[in-house]
Amino acid sequence: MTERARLSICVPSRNRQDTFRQTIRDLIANPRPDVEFVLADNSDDPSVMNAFMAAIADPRIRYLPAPSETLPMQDNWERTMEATSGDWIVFIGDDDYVDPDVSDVIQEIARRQPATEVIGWNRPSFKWPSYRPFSGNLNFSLLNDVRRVDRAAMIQRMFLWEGASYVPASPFTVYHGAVSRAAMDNLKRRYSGRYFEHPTVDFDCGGKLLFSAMNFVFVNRPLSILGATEKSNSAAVGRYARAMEIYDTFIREKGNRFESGGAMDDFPFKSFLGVAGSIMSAQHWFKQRYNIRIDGWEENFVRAMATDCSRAIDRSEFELQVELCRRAIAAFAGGKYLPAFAPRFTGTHAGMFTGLNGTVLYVDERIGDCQTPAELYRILQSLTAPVSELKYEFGDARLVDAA
Amino acid sequence: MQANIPQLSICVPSRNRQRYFQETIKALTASPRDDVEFVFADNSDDSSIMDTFIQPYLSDARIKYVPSGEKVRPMVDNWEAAARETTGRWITFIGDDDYMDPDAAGLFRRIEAVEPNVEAIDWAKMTYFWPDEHRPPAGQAVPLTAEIHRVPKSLLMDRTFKWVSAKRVLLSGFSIYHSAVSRRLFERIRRTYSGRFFEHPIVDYDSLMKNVMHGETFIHVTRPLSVLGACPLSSTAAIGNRDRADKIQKAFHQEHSQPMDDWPCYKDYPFKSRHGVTACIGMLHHWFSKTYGHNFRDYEANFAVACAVQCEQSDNLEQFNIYAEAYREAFRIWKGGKYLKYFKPIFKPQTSSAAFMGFAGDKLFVFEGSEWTRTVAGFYRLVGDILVPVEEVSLDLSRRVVDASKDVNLGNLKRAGGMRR
Repeated sequence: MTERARLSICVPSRNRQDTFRQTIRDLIANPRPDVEFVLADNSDDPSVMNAFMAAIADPRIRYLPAPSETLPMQDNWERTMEATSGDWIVFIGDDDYVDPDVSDVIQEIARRQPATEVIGWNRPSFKWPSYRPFSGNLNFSLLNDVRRVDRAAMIQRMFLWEGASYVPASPFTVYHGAVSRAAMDNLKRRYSGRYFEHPTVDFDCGGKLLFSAMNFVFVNRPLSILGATEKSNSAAVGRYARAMEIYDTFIREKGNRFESGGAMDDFPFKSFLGVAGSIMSAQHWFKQRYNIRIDGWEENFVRAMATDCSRAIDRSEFELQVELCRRAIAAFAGGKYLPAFAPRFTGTHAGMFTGLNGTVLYVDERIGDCQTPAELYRILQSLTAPVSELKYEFGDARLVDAA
Repeated sequence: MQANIPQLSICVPSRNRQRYFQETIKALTASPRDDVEFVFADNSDDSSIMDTFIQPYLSDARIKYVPSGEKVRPMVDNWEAAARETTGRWITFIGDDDYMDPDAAGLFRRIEAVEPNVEAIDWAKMTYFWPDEHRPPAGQAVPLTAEIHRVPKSLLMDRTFKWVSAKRVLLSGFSIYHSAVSRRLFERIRRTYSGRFFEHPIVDYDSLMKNVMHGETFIHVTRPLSVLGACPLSSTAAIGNRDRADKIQKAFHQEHSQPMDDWPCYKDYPFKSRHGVTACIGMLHHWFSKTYGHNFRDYEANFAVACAVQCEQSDNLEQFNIYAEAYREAFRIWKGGKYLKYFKPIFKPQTSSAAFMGFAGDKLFVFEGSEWTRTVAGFYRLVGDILVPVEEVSLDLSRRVVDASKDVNLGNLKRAGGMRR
């Protein structure tokens, strides 16, 4: 290290060396000395990344090579987190991008609002060119402001699924968000001595932070990009068969201990039902394990499942997912939430919206024929005010609802 | 030539800016559309540069090339030469450092289907500054709506001939420059004005006055269809800078056998081209009224306000004082000094700040200096991925009639986009 790390950018990876290497190249292209990059490979063939990393001499990098035996995802994330030294932590996927200059925004927030523990921001999505089975848009806010967020509203969004699309509308997690070291350590102390327990690592962390941290700040501007490739979990969105494949691999590699045994056995919402099902399964596990009772999520969640089904790009996959979800809903609480489940197949030929909706701008994800998430980020930089122009609205005592 | 009449003729007259002209030709001809015609009219001192460049393009049936003549043509004649070559149903002109979306041809066809009487179409424009070592790149405003509206002729008459709501220039829209004129209106104007479309050296506003005077049905498109480029050599880049403006003006006068200022109709008219762009449009206004017997009224105070706006856009106090004093002197003489009281320029220091990007007020500002926007067409392409596609522009003419030259108030707008397939 040339300077103490204020920010640790963590990238755990598994078997996606092509995008992982690109992500590393893009991150280290930023010369700022106050960030460290913790790069943790967990691939079947360790030699690819080992050879690549051997050719890079950057003192900001901490590289964790793939171990002889594949680690469960939560263990790979855990060792990544353990290797960090920064005051703040950000995790991204190996096909994503985060602007290392987010460190300036974090420092400025910490200076103005020292109690801040968790920071969220806009993270537009990007499909890599090799994986564009259908065209799509991406969106981000043009407000360019920074505000404190009402934690209670976020808990409702996360656990009651209020205002959810197919996922809960809470942007606060260490994945594409920043968490102070103190908040991460507090979470670890509070929950079984680990940073990450459940394989649905992002929502495992996000859910726990809403209970263990108090001070949340939201930046209404894009600061990172969520990438998707053929091999991503997010690429399974709209492709149920792909989701099933990922689920099968998951069960094969890690067993089913998070979805079976005790109260998990009787809970019909499991990860094979899709993205919403997967998050609900993780939330149920968390609530059971830590004796947290939250009522009133059912109807919103069932609607989110319907939205998840509606994202199918293929009618037969849509019908399969709908049928499995319907069975699960019927098996829950005497089927009383079935009326809220009304998925509609729209397909991918309905077109996509570009332009302005409220203060959110929608653009074609192929804008500028961008090839990588970092390139997309640079394009968005030319559409958004620079981070130096962010409006810090901390004078306003009112807490906002980030979503 | 194509078998059918082209839907749109895009004319690009040029003089001595071959580097930009070549980029514009490349960008326009990259369009695969076969219902457009391109008229490239060179008027450079060295004809060989464009004559050589254009050779491989001449096999493109959509292109008509007017080479430079033995002698440099006055700008108005070069524009007329380009206009004569056109065969399209619609005609538009852009500068050699500008860009126009050829897909506008399809939109015009759709507009004609819903309003068969349409004679002139105007649209939202964007501005782009080519890379210039003397000027840091900035964020350029991008309007986000995509609708069409009728614009009443009475409103355009007021804005054009009474200078209502004028800023530094008239804000009417509906010139032939970055607006389109139907063949029907084009020929009507030619018949009216001794077989010429362009007569006055201030070509764009010359066409504006004729279009507004003789056109009947005007449609404004709120989606941008073209970009006004400003290269280091262009007159747009000289706004506020008297020295650069003087140089450009001098070169302009040299093209004419008799400089505009010496025309008999300006003998007793105190505003001259050296006063700047507002005075130039005033000269055109004066010429048009004298030559064709129009007795325009109630414009004088608005004109004085516009002249003040021009002064206020000076780069520095010294230039402001020079312009303001020159105008003041002219207003003292003009019409018995009656309108001097309306000429009240106030110096406003031009603050140089970092390029602004993002959403401000009612527009999105897009940075013009990125690696994706090295040319004017690149800028349009990038912005095109945000805007509603041209083919999806809403053609609902039942909406209220809007004042086209006023920006649609996006501050109140909840949704300004459309579906892309």
